[in-house]
Amino acid sequence: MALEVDLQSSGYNAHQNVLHDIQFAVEPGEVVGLIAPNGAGKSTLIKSILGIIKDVEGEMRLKDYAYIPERPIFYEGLTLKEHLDFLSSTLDISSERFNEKVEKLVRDFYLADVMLQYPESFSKGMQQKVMLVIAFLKEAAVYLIDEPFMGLDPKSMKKLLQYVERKKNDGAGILMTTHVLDTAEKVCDRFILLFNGSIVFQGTIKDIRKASGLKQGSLFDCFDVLTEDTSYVR
Amino acid sequence: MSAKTILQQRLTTEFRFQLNVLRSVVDWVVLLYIVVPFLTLAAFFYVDAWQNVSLYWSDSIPFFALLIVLLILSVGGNFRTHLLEADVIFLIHLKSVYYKLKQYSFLVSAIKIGFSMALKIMCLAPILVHIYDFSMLDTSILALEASMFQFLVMTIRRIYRNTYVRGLMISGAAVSVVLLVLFVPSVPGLFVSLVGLGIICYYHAFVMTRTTSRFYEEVAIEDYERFRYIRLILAYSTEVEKSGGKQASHPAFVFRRSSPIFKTPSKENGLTTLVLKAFLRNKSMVSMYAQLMGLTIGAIMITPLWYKWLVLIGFSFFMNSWLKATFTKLLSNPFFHVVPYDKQITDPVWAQFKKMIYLSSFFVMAIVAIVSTMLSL
Repeated sequence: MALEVDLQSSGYNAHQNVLHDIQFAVEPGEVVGLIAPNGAGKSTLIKSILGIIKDVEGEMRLKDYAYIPERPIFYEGLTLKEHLDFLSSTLDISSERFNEKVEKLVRDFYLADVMLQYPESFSKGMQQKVMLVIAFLKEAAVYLIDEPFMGLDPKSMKKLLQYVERKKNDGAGILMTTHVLDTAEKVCDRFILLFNGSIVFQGTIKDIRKASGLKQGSLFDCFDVLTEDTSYVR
Repeated sequence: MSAKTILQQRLTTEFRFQLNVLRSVVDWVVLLYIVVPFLTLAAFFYVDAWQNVSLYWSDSIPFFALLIVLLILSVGGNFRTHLLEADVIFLIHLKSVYYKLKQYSFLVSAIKIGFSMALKIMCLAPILVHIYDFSMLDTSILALEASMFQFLVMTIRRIYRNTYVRGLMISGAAVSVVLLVLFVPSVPGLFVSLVGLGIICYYHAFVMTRTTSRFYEEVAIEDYERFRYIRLILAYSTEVEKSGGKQASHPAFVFRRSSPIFKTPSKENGLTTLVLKAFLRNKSMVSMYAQLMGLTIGAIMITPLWYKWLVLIGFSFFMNSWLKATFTKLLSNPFFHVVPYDKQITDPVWAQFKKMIYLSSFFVMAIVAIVSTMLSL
């Protein structure tokens, strides 16, 4: 198992839980889409998995991971090259091999010309690409990707999907949250539908269609059907 | 809604906002014991300046020096537009209202500059009249010339984005106004400043205000002006950490080519490089470090023999604890959620960081203490 989550509750303070009774797993070589409306707890779930919020009750088994946050995070006062140099110092990889990978990734995501600049001065899309480069430079067992398509141009989106496919074929597990359901439908092997802080359904697109009663329905339509009886207001 | 109503609402909102900001620092105690006595004393000194001007300004100082003071006092400020970022959605398409709002705002700015110039000239009037024999007409012309300079500087700041070009243009404007005041007789001087002011006002009222292309720059100026008192309060708050200001797109001085600090790559060296570069490129941290050193050097130089060494010991403790707090802050960056580091290397990295930053400062202070001790023996 690349990732195993058994969460009783989680939130930003002890009195207000955002998530309740969340159980799921991500197998090696599997892409799992975490689908939920705004404010349903997607990012809280990812932060709970990472152990960076306080009030979490439950158990998480997480192997070596790479994390792509919803909002790009950088170290103030470090250039892109210096961010990558620091990453290199945290990995067990030869500098030749690392530099080869850097060269390929920055070329693929059109970042070669800005290596000596501060990522904080980049556009939102370029910052997101830096986050992708940092994540894909790691040989992680599991990739936690929070809203990866936000601000990306179509070329970079295609590259991202190619890298996701490559990492999956290399045996990594991928948990990806997104609102871009038509793309998720094509990329993900399985889905977890989260609503009001709880899982309303999990399974393949086939299972979801069966449960929603829409035999030819898109993920978009099925999600709508499966969540329509549940109150949107928490 | 008309432009006049919008401007009225925005002026009222801003007045309330600035009043609340001032209230946060000026409570009735401050008002009673500092502001009121200060204003009373200022009025007393002003009346006294008219009677005994030689106590406040020497007649051996050339008029040129006073003129420079007046021009320096006139360099600040911006023409306001009272635009808000949300206007891009709600107002910008209503062109006539949008342009009118900017025109009225310019008028308000011009009136404010007029009042502020009148206040400056009023403060300098005892010197101008008694020491430099200015008549009422001469003083009014000087006020007009200085106002033209202020309008010119604010226009240059609005048009030119490049700092060097701006500096060059403002210097040119200052030289021109100094020459105008010093060498052009009163009446032609009056004519030149009236024509100059007329051209600048026309340009702002009928050219600059009738464009949407500078919307975001104008909103940025508005934000800058709206928060000026808050910035001022924060600048003088010793307990508040100052931000490093707007960051450039690439390093200007420190490790410009992003070159590594250590030859051997390792986990410890990687994290040490990160914290060292982040520290050295953080203006607020470096300025605090320099201030601590500067103050200590001053204290060591002026205190008696034994106190010099006590100051050195105090510096050692304080610098050590400040650097430890800074180091902890540098390691609490959320970027480490994306690229976590091995927590076990924290101690060796702190030792390396301390060796480079703390020991170098202690070494300098020790040399200053030794030299200062030898000089005082």
